[in-house]
Amino acid sequence: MICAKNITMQFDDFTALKNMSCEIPDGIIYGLVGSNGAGKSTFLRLLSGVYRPKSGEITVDGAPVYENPNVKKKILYVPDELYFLPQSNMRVMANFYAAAYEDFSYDRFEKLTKTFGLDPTANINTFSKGMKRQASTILALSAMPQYLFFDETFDGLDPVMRNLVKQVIYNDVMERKTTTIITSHSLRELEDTCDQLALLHKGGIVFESDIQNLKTSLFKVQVAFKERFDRAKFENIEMLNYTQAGSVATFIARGDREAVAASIREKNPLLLDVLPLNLEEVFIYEMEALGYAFKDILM
Amino acid sequence: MKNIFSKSLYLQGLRKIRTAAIAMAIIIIAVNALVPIICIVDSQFDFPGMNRSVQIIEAPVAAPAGLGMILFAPLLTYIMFSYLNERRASDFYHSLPQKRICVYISFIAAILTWIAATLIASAILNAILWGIARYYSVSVLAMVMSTVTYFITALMLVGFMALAMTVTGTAVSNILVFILFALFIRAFGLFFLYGLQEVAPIFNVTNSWLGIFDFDFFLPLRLFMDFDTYNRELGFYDAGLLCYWAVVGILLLVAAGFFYHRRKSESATKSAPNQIMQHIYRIAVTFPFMMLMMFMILLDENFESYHLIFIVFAALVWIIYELLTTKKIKNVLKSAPLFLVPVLLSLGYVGSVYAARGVVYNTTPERDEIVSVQMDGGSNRYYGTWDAAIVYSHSVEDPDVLDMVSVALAETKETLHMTSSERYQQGYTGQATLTLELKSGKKVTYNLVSRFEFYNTLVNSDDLYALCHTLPPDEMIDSIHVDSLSLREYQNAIWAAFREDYAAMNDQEKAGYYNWNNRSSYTMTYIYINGTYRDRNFHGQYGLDPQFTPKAYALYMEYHNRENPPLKGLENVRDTLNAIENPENHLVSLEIIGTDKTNASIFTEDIRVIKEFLNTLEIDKHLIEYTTAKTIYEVNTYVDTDSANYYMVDENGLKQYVEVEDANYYINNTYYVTLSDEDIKMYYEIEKKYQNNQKNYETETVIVD
Repeated sequence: MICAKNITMQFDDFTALKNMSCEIPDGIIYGLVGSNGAGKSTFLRLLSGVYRPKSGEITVDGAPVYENPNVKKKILYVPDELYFLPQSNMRVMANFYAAAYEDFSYDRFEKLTKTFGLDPTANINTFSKGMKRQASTILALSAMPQYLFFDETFDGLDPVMRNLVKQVIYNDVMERKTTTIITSHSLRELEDTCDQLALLHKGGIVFESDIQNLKTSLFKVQVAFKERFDRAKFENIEMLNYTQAGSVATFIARGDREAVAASIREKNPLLLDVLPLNLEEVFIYEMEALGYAFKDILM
Repeated sequence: MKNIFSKSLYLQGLRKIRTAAIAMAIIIIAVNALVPIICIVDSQFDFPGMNRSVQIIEAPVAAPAGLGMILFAPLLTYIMFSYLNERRASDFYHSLPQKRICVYISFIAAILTWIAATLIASAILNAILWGIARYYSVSVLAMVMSTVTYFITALMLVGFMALAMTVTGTAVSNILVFILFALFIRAFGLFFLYGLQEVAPIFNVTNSWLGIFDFDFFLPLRLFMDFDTYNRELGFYDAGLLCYWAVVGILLLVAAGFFYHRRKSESATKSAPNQIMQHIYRIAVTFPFMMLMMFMILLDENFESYHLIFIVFAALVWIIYELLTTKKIKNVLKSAPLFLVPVLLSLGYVGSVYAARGVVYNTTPERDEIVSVQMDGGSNRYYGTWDAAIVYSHSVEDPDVLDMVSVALAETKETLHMTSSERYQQGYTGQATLTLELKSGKKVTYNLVSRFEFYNTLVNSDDLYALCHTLPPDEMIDSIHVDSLSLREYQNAIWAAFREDYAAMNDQEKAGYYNWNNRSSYTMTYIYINGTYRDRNFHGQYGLDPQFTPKAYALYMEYHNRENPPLKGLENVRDTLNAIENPENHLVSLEIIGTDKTNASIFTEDIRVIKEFLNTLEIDKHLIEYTTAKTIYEVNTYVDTDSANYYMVDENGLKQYVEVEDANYYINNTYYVTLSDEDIKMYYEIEKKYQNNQKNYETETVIVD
C-alpha cells in the first residue's frame, strides 16, 4: 500500500506539491489526472525515490522509499520523458534492468516483445516515439515490480497500441495484483482504465473517488411539469447543478438513480429523462460543487 | 558491502564507457610501446666494430601514459556521469533500486578499473618490449612506480571531475568547475604566496605549509611539464608526495561521493544546485582575474594603467560564464551587483598580503633564539651532489654558522629596499633559503642575502665536514655506472676499488683529489652514481686517475680493454681504411690524447695520414699493460663506412660534405693504448709529409633538406 502524508515538494520558489495526502490500496489501477504543472510527475518521482520530499512522508508497504533499495526494487517508474542507455537496444536494456531488478523475467520480455512486434536487437534510437513507449512498457512489465508507475504513458501511441498497452497493464494487475499508477492530463484516457481516480490541482488532490461510484452516483435529470415550478420542488434531491428553461428543468443529481427517478415520478411530470454522465461531466460537476472551475483545472 | 557496491552496476559501468576506454587503451598502449619498439628497431642496425653499452631505463618508463591520463581520466568520468546533466537520465539512475552511494562507487570503480587495466597492460607490454630490446635494461621498480604514479594522477583527475559533476548540472559548468577545482584553488593560494613573497622577500612562504599550493605539488601538471624526461632519472618516486597525491585523490572521491549522495535529481540541467552555489561559482571564476590584477600591481607599481583592462576582462568572464551556464541575459543583469564581491575580495587579498608582511617583519628572531639552521635545497626529487644531499638534509648547530645566519638576517632586512643588482654591487653575493629552528621549537624559513658564502660555510662546518668528505655508503646507492662498460659486475668492482683508493687517501690527498675531480679538464673516465640520502636524491661523479685512484684506474683499463680489445679494434679500423678505395669520399677522424697531458693532443681527419700511421704502427706492440704504462693514450677513431655518396671533392678541389642523418653508419670507438715518443714523432712526420703534398682542401658543409 502506498501512503503519502502531507507531502510538500518545492523547486526553488515553485511549490509543486503542497501538503498532499493520499492512500492507494494494493492491486488497483490508480489514475492521477491534472493539468500540466499540477504535480503529477513530481508525485510519481517522489513515489519512486527520485526526489526526497521537503516535508511529509511517503511510504510503500510501510517503509520510506527514498534511499531504500528494499522498497525501490518493488517499484518501477516509467517517466514521461523516456531514457535508454546510449546506443542500446532492448536486449541491452533488458540486461540492465535484470541487473537492477532481481525478478526480471526474460520469458516475459521475449513474449511481450513478440506481442508488440518490436525488434529487441534494433538500436532504440531508431524507434519512433510510440515504439519507445512500447519498449519502456515491455521493460517495466518484465521487471515484475509490485508497483508500476506510468507517467503520461499513452502519449504518442496510436489507438491500437494504446489498447494493447492498456491490455497488458490490465493483465499484469489481474495476474500479479500489481499496484499501478497512471497519470494523464486527459480524463478520457483514464476513464476506462482506472479503478480509482484522483484529480490533482496546484499541488494537491482536490478530488478522489472510486470510478464506479463516480460514474453511477451522478446522473443528469431532465424534467417538465404542467404547472409552474422551481428548484424548491426537488428539495429532497441532492443536486449539484440546476438550470430551468420555461417548463423544462435540467439538473445533476447525486444518489441512487432509481430512488431519485421514483421520487420525481410521484410528482407527475410531463417529461422525465434520467441520463448517465461521462466521467468528464461527472468531474465538471463535482469540481463545481467543490468551488473549482473545471476548465481551469483540466482544460 | 551490498549497499555500497553493486557488481551488476559495476559491470554496466564498464560497458557504459567502453568505447572511450578502449580508445584510451589503444592510444596509451600503442604510444607507450613506440619508444621500446624504436629502440628494438634501432638495435637491429648494429655492425661489426660498433660498441654499445647497456642503457638502464630508470624513470619514467611510460611518460605518454601520464599525458594520456590527463586527457582520458576526466573524459571517462564525464562520460560515466554525464547523466547528471540530463534530467530524464538523472531520474532514471536515481530511480534504480540501489543506494546512491552504491551507484557512485560502482561507477567510480568501473572508471578506475579501465584506467588500471590500461596502465597495467601498457606496463607489461613495455616490460616485454624492453626485455627484447638488446641494449636496454629496465628497472622493475621504475616500471611499477611509474604505473602507480600515473594511476594516482588519474585518481586525482577522476576525483576532480566527479566532484565538479556532482555539484553542477551542465557540461559547461562541469568543465569550468573542474578547472576551478583543479587549478584555480591552487592558483588562489599561489597568488597569495607569491604576493606575500613579493612584498616580504625575506620570508620564504613556499617552505611553509602554504607551499602546498605550489604547482610543483600538482601531479598532473608535473607530468605534463616533465613529459620529455622519459629517460632521465627525475625521482618521480618520492613516496611522500605519491602518498599525498593519493590521499588528495581519495579525499576528492569521498567529497564527490558525499555530494552525489546529497545531489537532487532536479539539479540536472542547472549550472548550480542552488542560487548560493551559482553565486559562488560566478565569483570563483571571476576572482582569479581580479586577483591577478592585484598581483601584477604588487609586482610592478607602474601597472596601474592596466587596471581597467583587467576589470573589463573579469567582467567579460562574468558575463560569459553567466551566459554559458544559464543562457539568460536577464541573469547577467540580475547578478551584476554581485560583481562587487570579487572586487572587494581582491582588495582583501592585497590587505591580507600586507598584513602578513607586517607579521613577517616584526617577528624575525634574535641570535639567541636560533637553535639550528638548515639550508633549503629545493625539491628532494632533483639530483644534487652527495654533499648537497647532506647539507640540505641536516641542520647545523655550529655557533659560528648561527652567528653568520644572524648577521645575514640583519643584513637582509637592511638591504630590503635595494634592488637585487644594487645588493650585488654592494657585495651581497651570497643567497640562500635557510630554515631556522627556534628555541620555541618553531621553524621559520627565510630568503637571506649576505656577504657570506652560505653553502661552503655549511659544507665546512663542524657538523657536516666529515660527512661531506666521505663517500656515500653502498646501501644508499641506487645505481653505479662507468662509461663504456656494460657489465654491472665490472661497474660494481670498479666502485669497490675506488672506495679502497679513497680510504687510502689522507685528508690532504682527498682535498687534492676533490680539486682535481672538480676542475680537471681531462679525465679518462668517471664513475657515476645515483642514490638517495634521507629521501633526497643525489648523484656523484668520480674521475679515475692513475695517481689518485690507482686500483680503480687499473681495473677500469682492464675491463675496458676486455670489452674493447685495442689490438683487434685498431686492426679493424686499419683494415677498414685499407679497404676503402676512395678515401676522400669518407669521413674519418683520429684523435690521440695522452691521459696525463704530457703530450699534445692529436686530431686529424686526413685519412691518408691515419692509414699510414696505423699501417706503420706495429699495433700488436701497443697492447695496454694496465698500470705499468706511465702514459696511456686514448685513441678515438671515427670511420664513416657509408658516406661514399655524401662526401666528395668537386671540380674545384673543394671537399663537399653533404650531411644525411640517417645514413650515418659509423664506427666510433675509443681504445686505450701505449705509444712511445717515437710513435708520436712518427705520426707528426707522416702528417707533415701529407701537409706538404696537400691540395688546397677546404671543407664546406652542405645540409640537404
